[in-house]
Amino acid sequence: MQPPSRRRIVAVSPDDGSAIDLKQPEFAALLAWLVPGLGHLYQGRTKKGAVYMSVILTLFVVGLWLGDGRVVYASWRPNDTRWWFVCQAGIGVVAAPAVVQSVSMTGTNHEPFWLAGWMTPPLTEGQLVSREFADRLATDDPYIFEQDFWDRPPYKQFRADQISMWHHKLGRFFELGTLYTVLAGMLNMLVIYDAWAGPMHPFVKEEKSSVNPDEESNDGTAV
Amino acid sequence: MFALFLENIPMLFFSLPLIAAASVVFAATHHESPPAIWRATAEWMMWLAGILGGVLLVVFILSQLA
Repeated sequence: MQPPSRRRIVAVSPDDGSAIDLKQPEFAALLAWLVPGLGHLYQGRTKKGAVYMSVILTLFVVGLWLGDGRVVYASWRPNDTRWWFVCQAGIGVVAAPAVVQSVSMTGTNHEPFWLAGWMTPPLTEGQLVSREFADRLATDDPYIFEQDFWDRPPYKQFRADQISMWHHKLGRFFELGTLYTVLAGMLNMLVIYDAWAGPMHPFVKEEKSSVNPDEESNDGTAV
Repeated sequence: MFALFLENIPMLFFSLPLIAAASVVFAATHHESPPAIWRATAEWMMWLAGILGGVLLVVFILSQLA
């Protein structure tokens, strides 16, 4: 008997019945969450890992591109709770910048960690932001002007609604980008399960025993 | 130019990459060998496209009746 540290957990391939070494399934599942397909690469299931990685990351990146990088953000404000992010977070480290940006915006700095504003939650009416970030928005964002901010030293206060601007600018692509990124995160849940437990087997009907106990003769032998 | 091209693509076509991606992942979570995965992907694509097409057809018919 092997010691626990050298324990190997094996799944059975539904195609040819061969054994699949899952190594440490919990660690593989964690890796699969962090980066889609990484858990399978760790297990030596390279082709499957490459397929998962390319399909899911492509779907997520295309969604981000369709939504102009705005559709993935974390926000738990009462008037802008972004529930979609729960599903988008299923893709792991790729969605992590959204959490960093959100925490940074709600912190004392009142500005995103990366000032370019990528994955930053939209500004709401009355929100305080740093002067540097406000000036940057007024310069770079074609929808935001200097007069969209009140001067509230040492900050500036936003006086418009940025999510409305995004919807106006992106139209249907905001919803489409959201759908792509949400689906990428949800599909990665299946990938995590596959890394943890191996392939799902199709439902197989339990075959009836050839010996039916009701049809046994009185002396105990099958008819 | 490309943005204008994107604007003119019917929404229906944007569902095709979603169906393809979901089919690949569904197939890969049920099989291990690449030939079996690709075969199952084709089956899943037919199922998903059929279900989506059926729903759209019902919606279209109902919209015509309304």
